[in-house]
Amino acid sequence: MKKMFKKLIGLTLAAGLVLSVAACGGGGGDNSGKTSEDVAGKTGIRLSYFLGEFGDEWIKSVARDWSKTNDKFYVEVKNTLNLGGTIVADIKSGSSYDMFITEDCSFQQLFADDYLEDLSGLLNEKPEGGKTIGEKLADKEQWLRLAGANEKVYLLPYNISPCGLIFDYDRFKTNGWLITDADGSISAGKDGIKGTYDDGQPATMAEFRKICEKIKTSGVDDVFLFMGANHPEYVNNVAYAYLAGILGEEGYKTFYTHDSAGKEIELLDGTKTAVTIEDGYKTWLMKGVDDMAEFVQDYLFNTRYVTEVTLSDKSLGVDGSHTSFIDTGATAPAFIVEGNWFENGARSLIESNAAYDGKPYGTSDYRYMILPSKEGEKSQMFSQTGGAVFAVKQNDAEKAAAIKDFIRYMLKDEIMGKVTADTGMIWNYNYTIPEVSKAKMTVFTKNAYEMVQDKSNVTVHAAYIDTAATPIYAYSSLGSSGLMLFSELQYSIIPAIRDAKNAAKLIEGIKGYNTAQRWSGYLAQARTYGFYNN
Amino acid sequence: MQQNKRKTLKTNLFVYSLIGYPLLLFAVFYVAINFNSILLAFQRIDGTGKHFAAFDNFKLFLSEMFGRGNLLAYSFKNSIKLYFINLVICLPLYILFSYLLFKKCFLNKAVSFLVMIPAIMSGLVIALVFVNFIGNNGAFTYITKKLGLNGGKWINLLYSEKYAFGTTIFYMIWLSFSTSLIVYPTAMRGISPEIFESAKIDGMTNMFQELWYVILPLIYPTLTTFLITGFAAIFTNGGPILEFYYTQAPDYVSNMGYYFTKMILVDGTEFSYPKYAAGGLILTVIVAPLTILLKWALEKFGPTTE
Repeated sequence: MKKMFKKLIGLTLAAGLVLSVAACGGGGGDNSGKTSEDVAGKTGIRLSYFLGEFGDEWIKSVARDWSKTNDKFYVEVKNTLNLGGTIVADIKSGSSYDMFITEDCSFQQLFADDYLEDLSGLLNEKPEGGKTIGEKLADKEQWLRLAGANEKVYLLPYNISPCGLIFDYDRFKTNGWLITDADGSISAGKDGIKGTYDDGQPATMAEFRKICEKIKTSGVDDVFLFMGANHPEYVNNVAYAYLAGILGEEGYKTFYTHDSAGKEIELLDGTKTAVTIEDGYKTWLMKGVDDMAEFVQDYLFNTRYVTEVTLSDKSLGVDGSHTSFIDTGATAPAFIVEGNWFENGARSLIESNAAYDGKPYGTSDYRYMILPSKEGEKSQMFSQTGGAVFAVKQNDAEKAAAIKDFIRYMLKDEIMGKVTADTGMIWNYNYTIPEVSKAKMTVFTKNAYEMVQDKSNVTVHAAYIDTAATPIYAYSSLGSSGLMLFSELQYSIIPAIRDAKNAAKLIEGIKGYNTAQRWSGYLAQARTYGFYNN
Repeated sequence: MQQNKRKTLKTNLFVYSLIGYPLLLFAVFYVAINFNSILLAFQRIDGTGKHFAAFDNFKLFLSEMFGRGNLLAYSFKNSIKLYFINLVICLPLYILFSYLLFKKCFLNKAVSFLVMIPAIMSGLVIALVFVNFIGNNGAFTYITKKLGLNGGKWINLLYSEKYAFGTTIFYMIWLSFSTSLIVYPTAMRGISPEIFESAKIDGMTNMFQELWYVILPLIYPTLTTFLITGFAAIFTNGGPILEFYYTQAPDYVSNMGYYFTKMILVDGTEFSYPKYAAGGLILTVIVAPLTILLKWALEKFGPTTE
């Protein structure tokens, strides 16, 4: 009896163990959105996907569709929140993933030891028989600077979704907050064409101030809404867009490449000097950085335009800020500092709000407010993302080929266009959205896509890309987390100015932290990787 | 004879299998990692590999730690402040509350329940609840607005220089109450009732005398354990800073425990590891002898039960 009892207990425990293990494993299947038919007898390609507010439906759908076309492999999507350093450590210690789709591109330290699969062959492939993937790269020259070494290309671009001041055009129009021409009609904006994404936008900072004052005096508490305690980094995109606007394309390039190419630049103390990589830290002290600090102080850190709750309430999260912004009340925030993922992320809130006088999902005329730029310069926008697609070096040639085939499939215009229409994500490629997908785009996505594609008037930068393409960041302890350090390991301007209290002290802090001695340390590190030696 | 052997073998197998795994973990995650950390402290890492750096990392860490206005200097000072606040304010409070619980004073069960909540819930959840409680739409703000405090405006408890450090201290005290209110009353309950009877016969007339002359000397071993372990953790205790702020804590609330965690999260490049490894060694050199000294002093000069 006792023996029988022991056996029963043993069997029960064993069954429990098996079931719990099965439950853990099974979770992966559900997570990847696969059915048993999709995976039967096939080998899995484990894809680590950064799950942001674009959601994971699109990648699961692409993975499912591709897997149906392949007899031997299927793509298993695993959602993660891993970025740069975490992924580098994961791969160096033998990652269980075969490929990654992530929001940054700081993986240069994996190039030296051949941890990644060479994707250079894909650049010459034509996913739909038209342009090659290489021809589709939005900024090929810049991308290839960061994507590989020794004639190999390890990284392909992913998305470059703008992040900045989003506003509701209809609300601005109704309230008379937009810039008008002498005849009272809404101005055409920088592109000079009425009826486009930039109508009624300011051409000067005086006009921008006028807009902010009109909004404030109408009773709005938060002219600018953002998650100052939880996601202060979003504000960097507005601040750097302002900086790039006043420095111009060339000045901005000097700022992050830390080399003025022989030309003199004006520094904060009024002196003029040419900067080389040897004293490259001086570009962080160039005239314009103080203007950026003052811009943030005057607008985004000014309690006239931003409440203390917005600046510092840790309980103000993503849903809370979205709810405030989509509110139809007269005192609702005028701008939200967010990215293209905002509308898709707020979908359920917008749908619920429709029952309370809100507009149905996809119909609000949300647009980006573009800050004025220097005379003769394009408008400047920044992206919070600068993602990459890449694969871990494979021992199995067949699997490596399958991974490349999956990437090739994903980069078809048809697929990329559908993803843009469904989620608002803008790929870092030149691609044409098919009419069928265009018809499904939300008004906001249409506006954003139109803005990004208007390359003669707008440049969209991504700090992740610009830093990854510049060895002093990518190959030193400076890292690719941001364009500059405002204080010790502080890449975000809002916490930095909060700590410093005002723009003047912030600038003092920048000068004090970014010294010649610290710079020489970064430079020495980058040189050991073979950069800047000539 | 053979049966005995088999029994011994089984016992040994059981014991070794039980301690084998933790020992393996200890060897890998404590011994090997600390050994590697010691090596790292004397190295410089760059693109060409690892090089001997003598005491450069130590000099760098010390210059920042005893410098002015930088995060490391703030963290070092705050850690020391935290320990003394713990010692001077928290410890007497723990003992007082524990004594009141031991004496089953009015509302003792309600107090026990309130302070035990953090002990039975995840630290992250409690931190989130607290952040929302003091947030703009939280209950605390509702009350302060009703009372007209701060001109009826939201009080920025987590970021204002005036309140932030105090808020983190309050939270730490509240959280650590649960452990203290388990350990101290248990130690008090272990005292034989005859000792209290005897003290009364000897002239003990009030609760203060009972606490001071009877209880404190008898729970002294428990007290010293807390004091010694607390001191040993002076530079590793990060408090709730990471839960509250993740990597964006203002300098004035940072402490050494948080500093190291933040550095590894934000400055995750391997180039920087040697500096932090040197920092770890420096702090160990400071804390380890002082902890041994404290233990010796507490044992030598503390009250005896005789």
